[in-house]
Parts: sequence; C-alpha cells; structure tokens
Amino acid sequence: MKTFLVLIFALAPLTSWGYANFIGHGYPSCLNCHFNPFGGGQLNDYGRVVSATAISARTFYPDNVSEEKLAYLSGFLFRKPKQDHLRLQANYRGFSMYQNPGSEQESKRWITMQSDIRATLKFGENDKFIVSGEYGRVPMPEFPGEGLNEQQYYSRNYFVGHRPNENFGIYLGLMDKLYGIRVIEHIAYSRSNPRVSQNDPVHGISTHFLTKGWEGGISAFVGNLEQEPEYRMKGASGMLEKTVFDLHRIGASFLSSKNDFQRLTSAAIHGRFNIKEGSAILSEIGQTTKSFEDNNGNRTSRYALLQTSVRPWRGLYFLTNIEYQKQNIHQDDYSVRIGPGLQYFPIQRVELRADAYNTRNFSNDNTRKDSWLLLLQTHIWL
Amino acid sequence: MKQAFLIIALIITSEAWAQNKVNILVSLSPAGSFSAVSGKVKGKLSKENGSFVAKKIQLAINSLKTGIDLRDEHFWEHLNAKTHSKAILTNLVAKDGKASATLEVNGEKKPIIIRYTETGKNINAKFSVRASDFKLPPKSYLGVGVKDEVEVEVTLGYKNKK
Repeated sequence: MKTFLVLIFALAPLTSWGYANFIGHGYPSCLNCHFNPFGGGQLNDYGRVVSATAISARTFYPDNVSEEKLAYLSGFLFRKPKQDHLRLQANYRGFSMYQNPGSEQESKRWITMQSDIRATLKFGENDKFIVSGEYGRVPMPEFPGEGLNEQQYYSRNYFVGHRPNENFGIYLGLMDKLYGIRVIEHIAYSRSNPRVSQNDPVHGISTHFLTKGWEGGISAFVGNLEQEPEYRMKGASGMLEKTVFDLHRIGASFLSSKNDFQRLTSAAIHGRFNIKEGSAILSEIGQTTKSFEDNNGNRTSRYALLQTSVRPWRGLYFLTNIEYQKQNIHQDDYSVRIGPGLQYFPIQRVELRADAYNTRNFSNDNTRKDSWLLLLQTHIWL
Repeated sequence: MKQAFLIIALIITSEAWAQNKVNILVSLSPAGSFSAVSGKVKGKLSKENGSFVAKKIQLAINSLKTGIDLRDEHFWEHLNAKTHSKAILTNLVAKDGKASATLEVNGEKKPIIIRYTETGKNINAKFSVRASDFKLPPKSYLGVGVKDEVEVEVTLGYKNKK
C-alpha cells in the first residue's frame, strides 16, 4: 500500500482540479457549480450549463444551435437529465510532458493522468442530502516498479453531505483539505508546501458556511485511512473569505497537521479579483513550517503566487503564473517560476491546454539553475 | 463640407450616447452576482437653476448584456421583455444629491428615490429596487436563483437649459 501511495504522490503534481479563476465570470463561490462547496470534483447541472454556455467557445457550432440547446446538451450523455436524483460524469485527462527540451536532460512522455467516473446521489429541496464520489485508474508510471505492473484503481474523493439550508452544510468523507486558493496548477508552491495538492485528500469532517459577505469552512481530519496509521496526517484546517466591492474575495487560511514523524503548520492570505468579462487575478502568500521527530530537516518555507487569467473571447484564456518559493527562510536560496499558458475550450466538454514553465533556482550550490517544462494537455468529460 | 459636418455631428452624437450607461447588479443565490449593462439609454436630462429634470428616460430591456448569452436570454425573459420591452423612468426631478422619479418595469409603475453625484457633465445615480414590487416572480435556474433586491447604477449626460 505504501508503494502504491508513493506512486500516486509521485504522479500527482500536474493535473488540474478546480477553476478558482472563474470568479471572473461572477462566480466567487464554488457552490454554484460543484456538489462540493469548496470546489473540485463533479460539476452540478448549473456548472455543466455554465461550462457549455460561458466557458466553452461556440465557434464550431452552427448559428442555428441556440444557447438553450447548448445548455440542454451539457447533461451527461448529451441530454437534460430525466430524473432528479442521480448525476454521472466521466473524465479523461492526458498530457504530453517535455522536460528541459534541447538539453542533455531532455525527456518526453505521455501520461494518462485521469480516467474516472463520478456519481452523485441527491435528495431533498436544493439538494439537501448528497452522496458523491469518484473512482478511476491510478496513473501508471513510466517505469513501473515490482508489483506495480497491473493497473490499479482508487478513489480520491467521496463524501456524504447535508445542507439544511442555503447558508450551512456539513460534509463527511475523503476530501481535500480546506486551505488557500485551489488553483488548477498542482505544481504550484502554494499547493505543494502546505501539502494540499490533488493527492493529499484526507478523511474528515468539514463544515461550510455562506452569508452575503462571507464564506468559509473548518475541517477536522484523521489523515488518509488508506495510509499506514503512522503516516496519516491528522489535524485541522480552515479558510475564510470576505466579499469586497461585490465582485472580489480576500481570505485567510490555516492548517495544522501531524503524524508520527512530522508536524506541519501553515498559514496564508489570498485574494481573488474579478476583472470582468471572465478575466481574473489570483494571489496568495503563505508560510509553512515543517518540524520532524528527529529535528533533522526542520524548516520554515515561504511562498507566493500571482496568477492572471485573461479571457480575450469566449472559450480562450491566457494564463500567467508567477511563483516564488523560499524553502528555508534562514537560507539565501530561493526559486522563481514563471509559467505562461493557454487554455482553450473549443466545444463543451473539451479542454485543451498548453503551459510552459521556467523554474530558476537562485542558489550558489545548485548545479542546475534553470529547468524547463512544457505541458500539452487534453481534458474530455462526458 | 456637408459630409464633414455630418461626420462631426455623428462623432458628437456618439460621444453623447457614450456618456449614458445603466449597470444593474444582480445578486445570486446561493452566491455570486452578475452585472447587466447597457449603453443604450434614451432620454434627455437637463439642468436648470441647480436642479435636474427629465421627462422620460428609457432603456430597451434586450439591450442589457450580462456577459453570458444564455443568461441574457433568461434575464430578458424574467423581465418579461416580450410584453414590456422597455424600462421607463419618468418625471425625474433631482436636486442636492437626491432625486425622485417613477420607474416602470413589466408594466408596473413605482415611485423611487435616487441618490446621485455630479461629475463633469454627467450625473451618477444609484438606487435599489425589489423585483417583486414590479410583479416579477422569483426566478431560479438549475438551483441558482436571483435575489429580489437589485442595485441599479445609471450614468447620464446632461445639458444646461437655456
């Protein structure tokens, strides 16, 4: 099991899971479009329609296909659901990854990162009770180790939820920790430092509240029960956001967790700004402290993220990521990563994405100052 | 020469239109908001002895754009644009930052109170209204609804009355 989890974590860092930048369309809360109020996972009916009629281009549709028809087609199997209680979704995501092209360290590979099915059962007015989860293939490594030749399957997200009213909900299951902005880049320092990336979900209980000016939640977790008990990171986290000037959000988060070997505490402040017409700016600054049982490797890291998402026209987003990381605040070394990207939704259910990342290490003893990464990604969902 | 005058007149007219704008901020339930914006506001606002007066200012409902085509269609439908295609403000009288007028939407007329500021040759007016006051029923789409109270911002250019 340990090897299996190591494999998952090793392959984790490059997939996407939520679109915090869609605050630019006037949706500051994930609750409008996802069954999970903190985002990620399966889209609800409204989310599917927004995806089809606001996010995706309509260039390839004839003029006589109305927006209402596009909305109708956004349901599972290209039709409006005929019953109220079961919603299904299937996802495929794969990408070509080129590392350090043109250098001695050049490598190129294709990874099928995600192929899963998602299901949600919902009951009651305004989906008062839900049961939601996903199940799919574990990405296969390029050189599988012993015992890893067979395709394995896992679920990285399942929960039951009760939402007695619009303002409050409680959720129990395997979920992502509440912390910071869930940006779509899992290699982001703001996700890797506090260990809140795609494959760091934990079993626990989360509450979610939403008022006119505020949104947030608190979660208590016992680690991932798939892991051996001594490795499970147990603790709590929370996130709070305030709506400012009707359109924007500013927020703060905390996280504290530990297992038999280490303790991790982290805190961050962030902002999400709607710059209209589907464009947005996201920013986060945080600090993470890791301390180990044997005091070997204790360190405090700092990180910052600035992401711009500019939508020149429907279906297309120009992305720019600027990231900073200082792995140990008591040392001089630091890294800066700059990543321009292009995200294109040519038709509903299809996302094409190209990203280039340059990571520069400002260190006296680092033999490789620059590394380059080019990603070409295809994401299809039904 | 006639063509030159025509072009100048067109430019002046278009600049005058460009000053006028309506922005309706609609809050969503459970969360979020959108703005419905139109620059096609028709009507004359004039200033005389420190007071502003307008007999009739009107806006074509289907000139309002929300940034999502499907949402535009739903918004126009919600405002019953097929039957009542215009929102009309009548008998506007304004002085010292406060104004009163009658607003007609969906064929229903209601008196409203407006706050405004004057910037250059424009006034920037703000007021809030309840959709239910204009007999517009609660509306939701796939679980996301619009809240009853909406904020309206209007920018209008004015002319001094001689």
